[in-house]
Amino acid sequence: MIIEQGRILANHQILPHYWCLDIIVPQIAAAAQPGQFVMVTPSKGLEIFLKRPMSLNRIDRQGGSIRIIYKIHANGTKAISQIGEGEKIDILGPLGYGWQIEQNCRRALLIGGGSGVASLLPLAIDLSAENTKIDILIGAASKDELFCLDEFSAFAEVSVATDDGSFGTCGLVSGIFPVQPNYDTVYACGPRAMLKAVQQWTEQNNLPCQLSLEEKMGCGLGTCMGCVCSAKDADGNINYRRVCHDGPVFNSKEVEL
Amino acid sequence: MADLRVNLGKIALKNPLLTASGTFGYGREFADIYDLSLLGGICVKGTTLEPRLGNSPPRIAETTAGMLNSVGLQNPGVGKVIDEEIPFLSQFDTAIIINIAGHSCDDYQAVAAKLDGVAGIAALELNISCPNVKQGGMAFGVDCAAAATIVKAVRRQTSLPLIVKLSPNVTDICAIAAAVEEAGADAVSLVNTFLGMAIDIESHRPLLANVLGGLSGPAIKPIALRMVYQVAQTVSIPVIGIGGICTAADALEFMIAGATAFEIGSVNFHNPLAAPQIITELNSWLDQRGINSIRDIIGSIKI
Ligand SMILES: Cc1cc2nc3c(=O)[nH]c(=O)nc-3n(C[C@H](O)[C@H](O)[C@H](O)COP(=O)(O)OP(=O)(O)OC[C@H]3O[C@@H](n4cnc5c(N)ncnc54)[C@H](O)[C@@H]3O)c2cc1C
Ligand SMILES: Cc1cc2nc3c(=O)[nH]c(=O)nc-3n(C[C@H](O)[C@H](O)[C@H](O)COP(=O)(O)O)c2cc1C
Repeated sequence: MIIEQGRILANHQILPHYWCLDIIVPQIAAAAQPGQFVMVTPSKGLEIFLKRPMSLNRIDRQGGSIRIIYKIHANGTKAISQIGEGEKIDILGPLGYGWQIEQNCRRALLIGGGSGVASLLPLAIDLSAENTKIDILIGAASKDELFCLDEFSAFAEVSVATDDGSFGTCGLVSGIFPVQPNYDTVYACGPRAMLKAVQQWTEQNNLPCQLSLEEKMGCGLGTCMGCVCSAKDADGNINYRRVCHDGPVFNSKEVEL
Repeated sequence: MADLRVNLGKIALKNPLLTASGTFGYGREFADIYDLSLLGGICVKGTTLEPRLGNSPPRIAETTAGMLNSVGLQNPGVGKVIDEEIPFLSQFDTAIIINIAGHSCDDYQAVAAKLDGVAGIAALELNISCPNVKQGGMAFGVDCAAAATIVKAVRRQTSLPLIVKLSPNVTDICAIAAAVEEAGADAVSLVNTFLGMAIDIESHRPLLANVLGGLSGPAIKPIALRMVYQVAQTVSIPVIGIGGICTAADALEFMIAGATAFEIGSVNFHNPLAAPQIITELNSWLDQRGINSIRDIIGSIKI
């Protein structure tokens, strides 16, 4: 874990509710892996007290920068959108346990919903470097919430479902799950309800699956025991595991959603 | 370089900064960031006799200049703490303070007995103030007689210095402080978190699964400071100030009000480098004013 003063390279709106933030953090970029996240300091004052967890959407090791795509939610994300180019903010990272790429993964299915789509891009880049064939399913409320489609198209077969039918198939992303799936691994990141659907579907079809979870975080370092999820250990006992430290990526079989 | 050493009764500290229980785990994560030997001491996560699962999530809700938590004492139990965590912490030159909690008087006694004689412990901090578990101790901390009973009982089980951590969720914190002093406490630390809540106005649901949680951070500082001031006027044992401390200036306020040492909690989340930064700032503040020892600050309030 590194604490780095990041310089803002760019911070601009890309969609009605989404912004894109590029930060120069050479040490964090050098160490970062797909599926990991950083804690972003929204403002210098104490009023917004906690840092905000954000997934890595781009890891540019050569350029020493990372990209975050974030949805404006409330105070913290609003404050982040007001940080200007050239300003410096504290970034903690890279944090957590990211996506695991198994050897000989020939076919992978990536499923993303809402802002969760962001963390799938570095995974797709690494998988394609391993010559994995990638299909990706993206779910969003409307076409106004879709991002990175062009980037994904360079590596993957992309299918989209929107709740209002403004792009791709109308309905939930679970409506476009393949009928006869043949994948070595399924990777999913998105809202809890979507992850539940993915968990059930991969279990029914006996597919190995990794899920990236979100939970309210205090420290992001594994100290405060705030961001836990319910999990089963090898003996089937229920315990609470830290999303920031043991995750955010978990084997789908381990977690109870 | 000013002299930052203070004595908490029998416990000699290299400086008055302690990290607060539950905000620093067992130091492992922070040991990656800075040398823990810089710290005056470390209060570890609330430790119970048996492992505790803790409360269901969400356990954290941010509020203006602060946060609510309802972690509920998730910890691996005293056995594991003795076997794995205390040996790890012992490699650092800093005072290791074990924060203990329980459901019953027997629980507290059993934990204290197990820790007695374990090498590397500077003191016990008796948490009779956790608002997050039913009978998580707060029941003992809001009643003078119950507080005194538990302090006496634990006192019999240990030769270690006993710090009693007080709850602010009481009408008269001075009465509780006086009761635990009388019962044999070597020091008091205050405050633990204030019972609070937050509600999502769209769903009409509380933000914490536990409904209620403990408020900490800068939002509580003035009330915590008032309590520390009042308790320092009441007892003659050392007082440790806790509550919303984020800077050296905050820490100095508590010491001027009468605290011999202070703990920093939630600020460790806001800024993981807070502890070493506050120690450096304390030094330069004293140096700039030509004050040789931080001990001259303790209780220096002018009314
Ligand atoms: C590992 C991880 C990666 C994430 N990656 C992204 C990303 O790439 N893009 C993106 O848009 N969002 C991401 N999120 C969600 C993002 O952190 C929240 O939307 C954001 O913290 C909301 O802050 P706010 O002040 O606007 O909202 P508020 O609701 O006011 O925040 C209040 C508190 O709740 C926390 N919080 C609120 N929503 C969430 C949430 N969904 N998950 C965790 N904590 C939350 C905040 O951190 C803050 O402490 C991620 C969350 C996690 C846990
Ligand atoms: C996430 C969290 C967990 C805590 N756990 C404990 C605990 O186990 N035992 C205890 O005595 N106090 C616990 N506390 C209380 C702190 O030690 C401290 O008394 C309180 O947070 C006020 O200080 P602060 O405003 O500097 O955070 C916890 C606080 C937080 C925020």
